Parts: sequence; structure tokens; C-alpha cells
Amino acid sequence: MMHTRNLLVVSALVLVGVAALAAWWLDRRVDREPAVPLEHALEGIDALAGQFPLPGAEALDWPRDHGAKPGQFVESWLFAGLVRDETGRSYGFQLGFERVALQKEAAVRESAWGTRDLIRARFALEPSGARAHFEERVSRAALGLAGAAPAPAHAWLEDWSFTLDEAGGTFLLGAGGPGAAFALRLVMPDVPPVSIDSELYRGYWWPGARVAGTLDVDGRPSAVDGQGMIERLWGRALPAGRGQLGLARLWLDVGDGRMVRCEQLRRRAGGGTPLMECLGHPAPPGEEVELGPKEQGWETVAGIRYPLRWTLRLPETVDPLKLAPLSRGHTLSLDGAWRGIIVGDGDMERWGLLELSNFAAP
Amino acid sequence: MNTRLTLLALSLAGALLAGCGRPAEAPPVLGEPGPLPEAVQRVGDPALGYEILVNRGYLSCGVPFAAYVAGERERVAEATLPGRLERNAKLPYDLNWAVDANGVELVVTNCLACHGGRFAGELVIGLGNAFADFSVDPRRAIEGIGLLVEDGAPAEAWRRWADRIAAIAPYMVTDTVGVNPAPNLTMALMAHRDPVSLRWHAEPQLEPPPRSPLPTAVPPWWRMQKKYAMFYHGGGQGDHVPFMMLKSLVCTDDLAEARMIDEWFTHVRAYISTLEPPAWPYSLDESLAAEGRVVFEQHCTACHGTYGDDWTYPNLVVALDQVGTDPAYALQAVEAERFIRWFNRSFYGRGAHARPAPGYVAPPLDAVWATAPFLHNDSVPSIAALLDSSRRPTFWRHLTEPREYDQETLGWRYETLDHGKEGAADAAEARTIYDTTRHGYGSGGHTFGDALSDAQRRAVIEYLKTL
Repeated sequence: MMHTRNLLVVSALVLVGVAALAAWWLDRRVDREPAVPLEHALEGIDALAGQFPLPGAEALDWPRDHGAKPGQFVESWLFAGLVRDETGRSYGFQLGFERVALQKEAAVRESAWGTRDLIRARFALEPSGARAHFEERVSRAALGLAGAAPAPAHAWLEDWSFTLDEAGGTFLLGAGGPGAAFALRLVMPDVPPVSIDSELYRGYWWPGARVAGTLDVDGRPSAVDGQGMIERLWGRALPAGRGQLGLARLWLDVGDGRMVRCEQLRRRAGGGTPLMECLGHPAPPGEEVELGPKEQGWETVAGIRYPLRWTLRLPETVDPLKLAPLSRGHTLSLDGAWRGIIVGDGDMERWGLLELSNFAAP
Repeated sequence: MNTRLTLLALSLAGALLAGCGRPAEAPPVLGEPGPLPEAVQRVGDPALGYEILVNRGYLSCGVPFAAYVAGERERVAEATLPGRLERNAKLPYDLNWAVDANGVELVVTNCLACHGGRFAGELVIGLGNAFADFSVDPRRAIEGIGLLVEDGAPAEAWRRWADRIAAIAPYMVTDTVGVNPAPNLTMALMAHRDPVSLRWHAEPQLEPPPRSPLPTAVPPWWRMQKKYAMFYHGGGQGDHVPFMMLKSLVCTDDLAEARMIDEWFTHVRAYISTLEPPAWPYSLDESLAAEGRVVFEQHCTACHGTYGDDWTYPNLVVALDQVGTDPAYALQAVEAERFIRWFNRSFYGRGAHARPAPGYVAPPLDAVWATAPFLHNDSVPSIAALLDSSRRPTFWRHLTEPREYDQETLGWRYETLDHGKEGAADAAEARTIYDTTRHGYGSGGHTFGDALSDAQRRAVIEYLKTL
């Protein structure tokens, strides 16, 4: 297994994504009471996270680590990929689950609504050249509405779910929103994943999955197949931009057998020197990776300027890859992040996922 | 044409006119080997100087305090110093608390980051830190602090500081842990500032110094009681205050602030001039030390002076060909005419003179046992090796786990290696290796001790413990 300590994320570890989620949750709870200022709603989140243990240093193990880790403050499962239907049309997909603890111990309340955990899930289906379908849900882990299980690995929020099969090598995904749904199987490759080892979280990125299943877009089902990946993290925090820095995360199948995962912190106000670290599969990409937004690649989404078009130059590559969203009309997540499937140079063999958080200008 | 463009055009025209027909500037006055001129120093209040040293923001940009607290919340508090006021009392000894013009509380570095060293478990004010690590580019850490900075005035303060450090970072990263890049760093700051107004320019206005700083050792402050010049090459003559406050060049953008810091440092200099060298904390063979004094006064006194109540010190610059130590640092200083001119034209040049010489000052040796490694470039790890050039390692590194002092050789324990940086397992290990074959890192010269017998050298070493 490749084992790379992600130094960038040591410094980049932040709770803002979780905090924003918790703030949204708290705000919902008090919506009939005087508004709670955001900064007050966030108070205590860092302290609560600090009550949970740091992720252990024990060797990663599968299928155990696919399963939920209720002893951790926060954990996530991110599935993404690119599939084609029988006509050759491409679709990107995303399904993400996050569990965050709202208190250290299990809820002790008579109410069946009592819960210790909150589950957030995101669904996206992104047809090539068309408007993306996107939906996000949040639910308490109570009354069977949502939850995450250690074995077999399983998480669900209402009718959205992923489940690891008994053999431990195939994930079954199912989710949908208005006008779009998918049911997909991700068969994990034989090669091991890339370890993600940081100060406040750890986990792994596992590219190279074979994907097959069905899509349903506007009531028209179709069989699809393609490629996919999973990123699994757990710990005291998840990576996100914060303060004066936005965080861009890129996962990319370069199309020549190489896959890269880069994280880059950039000043929201511009200037400065971006900080970046990259992992690679089957080998690290080296120090000389260049990644940056195109000058004309910025678009306004929900009032925020996001760099949606990027260039990536890998070592031993003459021309930089031009990365652009596969579809259009993306909706921001509750935490303000933009996430979308991207392709390089318009080549569907060069697909990836781009996530941008905390890019709103100060 | 709008006002801004008009001003720009006028300034460009002025610059062009200033360059046309102007006679070539005369070479700056340099120093020469031989005795240094004495200069009367300004009178200050030592107690106030200490209060300023450990409490005030003479480096006026830094990390917003709230971001510092957020980033350090789980760090165990370090021992601090007496006389630390307000928030300073909770900060490590090498950081001060300050408030900027916008009311943003800051955490800023102070002089002790380089001029505070540990010996026998104690922090010694004025002892150069021989283990400081300038071999890592600071930009990553400084940029990363942005994660913890709030919008508004704190963000502005952080950007200002981060941009300054980013501008000079290429000139301050050493290739070896322990050596100090201060001279190169200072020249980089001069390149970015107008000498008259002190205005900061994002782009250098002078050709910057080389990107590979020459290594320098941090001399102990208690020597300032005797020294006429600040620096190894005999530069830094006249009023010492302006040289002592040059660290503030990172952030001081106007003359009003420079004048305030100049006033502060009149007192800081007065405090430094009161510092006494520490006493040898271990056992001593007084009989052997007495023998050593005789040898020392026969062979060393002419350059290094005498010690005791009736001490003498000649303040002598020894020519490069006479002392024979690595010449790169002195030669760079005398050849850097643009920076000598910059200093002498600037606010800092009133009453102070850069005036480096092609040689090295033989320093006072008070508590020299505490100041390893030796020579101006930290190239010789012990006094024993300094007095016997056959014992000087070509490749060596300090043993730091744990860091131990060798009472026989008068230096921090080290190991001799059979390879330089090229033979290191990785870049991190390479940074710990002192490679005396590299430019500016040479350990040759000052072979005067080779003429002594082993017994005489042992005696001199014992005598040096008494200084």
C-alpha cells in the first residue's frame, strides 16, 4: 500500500465543513427562536471535536475500514465516477455521505428522535454538456431515517445508500433526486489504495473502480458502465478551506495509467503562493506538478466567483491538461462548496472530480 | 489623464532624468585591516531597554494574535522570561505581543529568536542560537496560517506580513541547520526598500543578493561591551543602534516608526552593553588554567586581548591572507557596494557606517566556551578543533538526541561523517550535515594553535573556561 503523509493537510485541517453543517443544523433547530449568530453557533464545535480521539496509526485494513467508525468525531465516504450509456453519452456521478457527532456520548433521551449523530448526503448526476442534477440531504441518525454501520459497511439517508457486499469488494450505490437517479455497482480493483495520513484525519483514496449499473434521467432508464473512485476519511476534521484560504481538491484519471489527487490552498483575496501537495497512483507524481485556475476560467455560482476551469501540468508532460466541468448549472453544497465532475481536454478518458471550498472573496 | 497616472508619469520622468547625465557614484569607503576606530555610543536606560526587548513590537508585522492562539491551542506553554508584560507573559521567550495601526493584536518575533540560546538547560539572553533552523522555506507555514485568520483588518495584517516574508524567503533559506542567514536577509530587505522614505516595493529596486545565503554564526551580545564594530568583517561602525534595529526593516515602512524604534533601541543597546558573560558552570582545574593563561598571553593576546579586571582588547581586523579563514563572507560584504550605499544613504546611516573590510575581527573571547561552533561561519565544532586544525572535520553534524556539551573539547557533541550532503539519505538529513567543502562553509585558516603542543592546547582550553 502506498503510504504518503499529507503535510499540506496537516496544516489545512479545519472543521469548517462540519461547523457549517452543525450551524445549519442548529439554525434549523432554533428557527422559531431568536436567530443564533453563526459565530455563536460554531462555538463549541472545535471543543467537541477535541473530545474525540485522533485517528489511530494502526495499519489500514479492508473491508473493516470501509465500515463506520462511530468512535470518531467525523467521517466521510465519497464515491464519484464517469459512466457512459449505450449511445456513448457520458455522465458524471457523485454520492457522498458524512457523519458528524453532535455529542461525545450516545444520546440518552426518551424521545425516539434523540440522536448522537447527524448524517449529510449529497447526490449528483452530471450529464455531459447539460444541466447537472444535484440534491443534498441532512438528517439526524434516528428512527431509521439515516445512519452508518460498521459491518458490513453501510450508510443511508432515507432512500439513498451505499452498501458493501459480503465479499467486501463491491459497493452498491443507490440515490436519486428530481428527474434523475442511479443504481450502480463499484467493483474495487485488486491494487491497494493510496493512504491519506494527516494530523487530524486519515483514510484512503481508491481509484480504478469498474462501475456498472443503471441511470434514470427524466424517466428514461439506461444501462451504463465506466470508472469510479472512493475516498474514505475519518478523524477530528475533514479538509476544507477556511479563513483567508480556499481549498481546491482535485482527483484526476490522467488517461495514461496515472491518477493524481491534489490539494491546493489559495488566498481568497488573490496573491500569495498557493500551497499544494499531490498523491498519485500507481506512483507519486513528483514535486513538479503545476496546477492553477485559468485566468478566464472563473464563473459566478450563487454569487460567489469560483475557478471552474484549471490547467494541470504533470512532470514529463509537455502540454498542460485543460480541465473543465463536464456539465453546467451546479448547485453549491450547504457548506458553500462547489463540486463537480471535470474532464481534461474534452477527453472522457481524462475525467476527475473538482471540489472548491471557501472561495468567496473576503 | 487621471491623478494616479499623472503621478506615475511624473515619477517615471523623474527617474529617467535622475539617471541621465548623472556622474558615476564614487566607490563607498571601505574598512581596512588593522585597528578599528572607537565610537561613542548613545546613552540609554538599560532597564527600559530590557522592557522593550522582551515586550514591544519593534518588528511591527506578524501573525494576528487570534490566529496564533487558534494554532497553538494544544501546544504546551514554554518557559518565558521575567519582566514580560500583558500578553507577552503567556508567549514563548522569542515572541512579543504588539498592536498594529489598525488595532489588530499581533504576535511578532523578537531579537531572542536568534540571540537567545540554551546552555546547561538555561536560556541565556545574548547567546547565539546555534541550533536555529533556517534551512526550511518559511512560506508554506506562513501561508498556511491564513487558514486561521479572520476577514477584515486581521486578514490585512496577515497578508502584509506574509507578503514581506515571501519576498525575502528566497534569500534566507540556508542549506544547513544552525547557521544564520541574517546578512543576506538584510540585503534582500534593502533591495525592496527606498533608503530615504523606507517605502516598501513589492519588486526589488536593487539587484538582490545571491539566493544562497552565506553561513554566519550569531555572536554573543556580551561582546558588545568591548567591540567597536558590529560585524565579523569590521563593518557596523559608529553608532551601533541603527545596526541593531535592522531586523525592523521587515515591516517598518515610514520614518516615524523608524524614529520610534531608533529611540527604543538606544535603550536596548544600553541593556545589551550591561550583559555579563556567563560563568563556566562545571568543574575547573585552576592550576592547569593558570598554565594556559601564560600560553594564551604568549600566543593569542595580540589579537584577542587580555582578560580580568584590567582587560584589554585591541579591536583588530586581521587581513584575510593573515587569518586564512573562509574569505567568502568578508569579500561579499566589501563587494556589495549597492548595499553599502543604500545603508549610508538611509535613515540608518546617520552616524553609523557600514564600512566592511577585507578581513575578520578577532573577537573578544569572554565565555567563548559557550559559543560553539566557531569561526564566523560556525564551521569548526569545538575549541579543541579550532586549536588543532588536524582535528577539524570536513563533514560533520551535531548530535541532537540529546544535545550534549563536551566539557573537554568545548563544543556541542558531533559526529564526523565520511560524506557530505550528496551522501545523505534524503534532503532532511542533508540539511543537518555541515559540509566544509561548500562555498562559504570552509573551516580552514586560524591555524595559530597548530604551533602549540598538546599539553599547551589542553592548558589553553582550561584557561578559556575561566573567561
